Amino acid sequence: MTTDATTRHLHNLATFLINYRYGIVSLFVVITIGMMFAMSSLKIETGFKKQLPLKHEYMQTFLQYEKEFGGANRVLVALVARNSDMFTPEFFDSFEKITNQVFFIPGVDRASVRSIFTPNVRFVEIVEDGFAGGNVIPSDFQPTPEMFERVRSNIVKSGEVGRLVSGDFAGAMVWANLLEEDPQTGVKLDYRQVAAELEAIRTEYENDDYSVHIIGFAKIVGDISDGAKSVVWFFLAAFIVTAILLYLYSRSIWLTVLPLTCSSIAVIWQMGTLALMGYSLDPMNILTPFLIFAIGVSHGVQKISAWTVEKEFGGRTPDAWARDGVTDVSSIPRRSAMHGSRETMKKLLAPGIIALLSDTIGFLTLLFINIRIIQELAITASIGVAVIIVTNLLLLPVLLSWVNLHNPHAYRERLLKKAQEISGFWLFLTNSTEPRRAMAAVTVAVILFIIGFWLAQGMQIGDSEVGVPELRPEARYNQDAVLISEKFSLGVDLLTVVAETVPDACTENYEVMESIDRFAWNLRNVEGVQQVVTLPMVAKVVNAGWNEGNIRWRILPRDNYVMRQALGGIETDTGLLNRDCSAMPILVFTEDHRAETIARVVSRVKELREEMSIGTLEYHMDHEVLEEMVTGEEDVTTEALKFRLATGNVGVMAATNEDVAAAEKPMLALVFASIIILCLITYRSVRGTICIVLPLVLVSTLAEALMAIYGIGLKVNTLPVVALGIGIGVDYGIYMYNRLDDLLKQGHSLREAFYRTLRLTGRAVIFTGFTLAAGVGTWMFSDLQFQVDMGFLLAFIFLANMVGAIILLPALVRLLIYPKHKARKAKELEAGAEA
Amino acid sequence: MSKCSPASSHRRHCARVDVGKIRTSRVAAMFGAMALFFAIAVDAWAETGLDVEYSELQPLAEKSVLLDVARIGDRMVAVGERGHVIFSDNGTDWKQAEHVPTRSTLTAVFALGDRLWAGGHDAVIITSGDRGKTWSRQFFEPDRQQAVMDILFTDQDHGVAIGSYGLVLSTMDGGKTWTDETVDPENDYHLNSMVRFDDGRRMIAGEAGYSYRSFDDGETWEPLDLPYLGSMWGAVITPGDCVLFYGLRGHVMESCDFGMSWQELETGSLSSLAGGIYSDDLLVLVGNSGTVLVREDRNISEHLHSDGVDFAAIIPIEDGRFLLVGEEGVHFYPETVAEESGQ
Repeated sequence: MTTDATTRHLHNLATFLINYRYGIVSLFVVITIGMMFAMSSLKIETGFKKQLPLKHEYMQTFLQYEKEFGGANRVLVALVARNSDMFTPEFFDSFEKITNQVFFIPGVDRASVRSIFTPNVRFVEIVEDGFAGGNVIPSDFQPTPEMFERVRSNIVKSGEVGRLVSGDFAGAMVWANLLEEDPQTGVKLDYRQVAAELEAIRTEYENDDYSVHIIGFAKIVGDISDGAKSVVWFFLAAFIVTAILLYLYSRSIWLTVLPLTCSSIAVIWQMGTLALMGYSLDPMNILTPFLIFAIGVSHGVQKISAWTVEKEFGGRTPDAWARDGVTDVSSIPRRSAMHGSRETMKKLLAPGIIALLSDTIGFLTLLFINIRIIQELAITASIGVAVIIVTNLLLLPVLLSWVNLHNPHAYRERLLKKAQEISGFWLFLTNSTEPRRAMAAVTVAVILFIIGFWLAQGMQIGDSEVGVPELRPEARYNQDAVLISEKFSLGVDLLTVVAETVPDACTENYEVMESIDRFAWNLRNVEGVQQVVTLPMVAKVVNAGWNEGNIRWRILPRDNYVMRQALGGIETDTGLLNRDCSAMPILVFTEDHRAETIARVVSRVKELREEMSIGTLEYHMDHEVLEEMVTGEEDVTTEALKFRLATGNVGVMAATNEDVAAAEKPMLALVFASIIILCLITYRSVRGTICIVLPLVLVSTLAEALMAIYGIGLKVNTLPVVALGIGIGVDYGIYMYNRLDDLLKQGHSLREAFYRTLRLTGRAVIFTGFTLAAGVGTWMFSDLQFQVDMGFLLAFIFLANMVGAIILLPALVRLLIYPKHKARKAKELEAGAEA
Repeated sequence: MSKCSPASSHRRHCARVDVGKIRTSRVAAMFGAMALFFAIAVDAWAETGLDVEYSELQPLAEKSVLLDVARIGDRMVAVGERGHVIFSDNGTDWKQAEHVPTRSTLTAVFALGDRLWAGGHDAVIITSGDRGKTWSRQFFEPDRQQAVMDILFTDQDHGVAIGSYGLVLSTMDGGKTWTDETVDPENDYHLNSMVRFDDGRRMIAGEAGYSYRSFDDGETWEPLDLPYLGSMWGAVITPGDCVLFYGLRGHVMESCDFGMSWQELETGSLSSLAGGIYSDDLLVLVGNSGTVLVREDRNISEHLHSDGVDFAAIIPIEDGRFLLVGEEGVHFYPETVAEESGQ
């Protein structure tokens, strides 16, 4: 397609849109109203599984055993006395009420509720002829000192110190498991309602004497949803900041209102489309509407600039008129608003689409990462960008065709006057093209790159903060998690290795049990492991119990009968075995969830399963039931024991870390490869492509260095940021290079060309940089840690790319392109002279 | 193979035990040629058809369950679960023995002269001639399902190991060969602890009221008549020809006439007692849930150790302090040096 043909098509399209503008706008109004309806059904919800790399080997284990060992969905409510111990009438009164309230929360599996007040918590003591036991709180309980002493001793005997009761007797806990689905009605559990009821318990019982601490997945969901609710305020803040910036830029109410309107319509369409496609909006992806809004505004700015020039200055920039010595505005032609709109569309539709395509490419590379939430982010953002093509590249110019500026004469005079002033700021920036300055800029960039690259090596994978990484470290939830793990000897970081074996192995196969036990002990000896809990370990303690509590009998019995006796009382709800005992989780509690701790444990697990492979095992059936099935005694050979990674929150992190780390470099390579190809196609110049891409490389390296410095780990939430940032950041380079290249080709000197580029495009680029940074920067005040991290990084990437485009890019052009350009020019002159 | 007599205790079943093949683990292979050399050197057990498994070296061995401790010269040697043997010359810095040919839980260690013996579950008995650094296996019969609970040697050649289900093994060649004996043909209750007076009289503290004495250095045994029929987990000799038995639920009995008459001591504790020592006019008994009982001038006082773990054994160290072993390894009493007499 030739340029002429393209121009003709664009002209026809633009003319068509403007001629039928009433119909077009009505259509937009109708669609927007429809989208608003659709949007109202869009749910903001988070799903635990969406954040998991479900194709990862570990997650297969996770999914397989999720139901059987689902004890992870537990809620813990702790009441802690601030200045005394728990043995006061008030404490017991409050704690009993809390236990009852937790019991009646809808969704709580009532049989699973455990506290010192529930009948399923008993103490056992060994007496001469066996065991004796009872409820921890006696039925004749009265709040007397003697009774408190009895309860204290019962608690010790029950073995719940450090579990249901804190080690220092300052507090006690209620445990409850939640049922994801109501067994009777099949209704799905409303996590947010559970969270609200838990919070109500806190409000009721927390006072000057007692504090209430709540942890559990339901509470996390509640807190994240609460945090996400503040999205409205952030959006409002971003909107206002953008409006102010836009007004300062355009100095016109209409030119402020229209881009904002079109960008808002883009967001409405985006969310409506999501709802129509059956998606919900995850709190993590709430950032994308902001991005879309900001991208919309930045394209809108290009439109209103171009439109102003076309309508009020006859298609030449005020700067150009000023250079030609025109001082009187009345000598500059004015055109109709419709003409301005048509010309704007014709000139900006193609570059606009190319810029938006490059954004989309950045987003779409994220689809290659096998984590659902990142893919949703890619889809959400791509939809938004597609919508912007319609709203801001088409609708905005159409709307502008109605606009007549208030007091246009003054407006034009002001712009022309401004163009006549020689601005020190722009001149200063123009100096970037001086050879010496260019050299200096590039040298600084190289030094920054080296430092950044070196620092970026320290970027960690995953998260290292205490508690839940989605929330801020100082969030109440994370504070509660810290307190509970300190007061109660309860690990919050858990990696579970599932030992898979033959059915009934736990009672019928000593070798399997011994191997699991030895495996667990080896893991216990890995640095960073706090505690390991396994069925064999419990069996040993129970076996000692059957031997009068004698510690010398804390062994795994070789005798199957004795083993059955030892394991008889251990239910599957302990999470230590499944129904037929063919799977036994090895619960590895780690001291923290730093990536290196996780990696150390995981690599030791991999070593151990090589070492401990007992291969096939002659499995001797002598279980009664099996004996009936198999006549006589047969030896069944089967693969005896497999240790499978991994479930538990740390298991999930292990899988995520591995996938995220593996995805990062290919993702960046893909983003850069697509940008390079796009630039090569557009400009057919290797050097030009280098000028555009090198600043991006520097910025992405600096972003990684920043992550290392601020301890922001590479994780599900931050992985997409670089792709997004680069995808959008390349726009600046493209706009700048585009204009600069044009002006150079028109025969201007580099200095002149760059000055002109700055005055038109540079202004818009700087404005865009700030608009985008403001749009995402509001997130730094979010309650949710991942939003803080994303907002911070994106704001940095946008601003840094902006600086790169107006300082480093021209310097690179000076060093790489201009010499060649000059040589060619000289040659052309020579040729011209000869002719 | 285990016996199947009706007299077997209720906890004992005549199970047909399929031990299967216990393979040499790769950990054992790590010991390489040296392990091979030892495996051949101790081929007295080759006929059992069981390969030797070696205890694993692990940094946390000194924090594992330790069940007995003995002194050989200046060195303390403690034994425990998974065949762990650790030793220390000062009580605070411990090293794990490099070469221990068992992974069975060791419950007893005994030192005489320059030799150590240790025994435990799976009827394992091991010995060391280099003050605990390396060990060789003398006896190992897991099929018996009996555990060695105590070992006593009178010289380098003559010794006896007693244990669960009436286990009595004696040797006259320093442990190269062991022969089965019995103290009570009628019963096979656990025999938990043996003490020997200087004149050769011996006593065994045992399970469920079944304890024994011997006037002839272990040749013949007769049952004792005890006022309390709970299990006795240990015995300790105190001056004045007295002996104390201690065990289940804080029960302590004293006899100063070789078991003719017994007196129950008021301990005020319900915790079972697993270890005891008499040293420097002080009798100290330790047991479950951090229990430490101290008898001084005939008064017994109870102290709860802040570690709160189950203790299994105790020996004196310098400055009037004691070293305790049990859950979570090594502990001290009094807990700090400054703290003179407990609380």
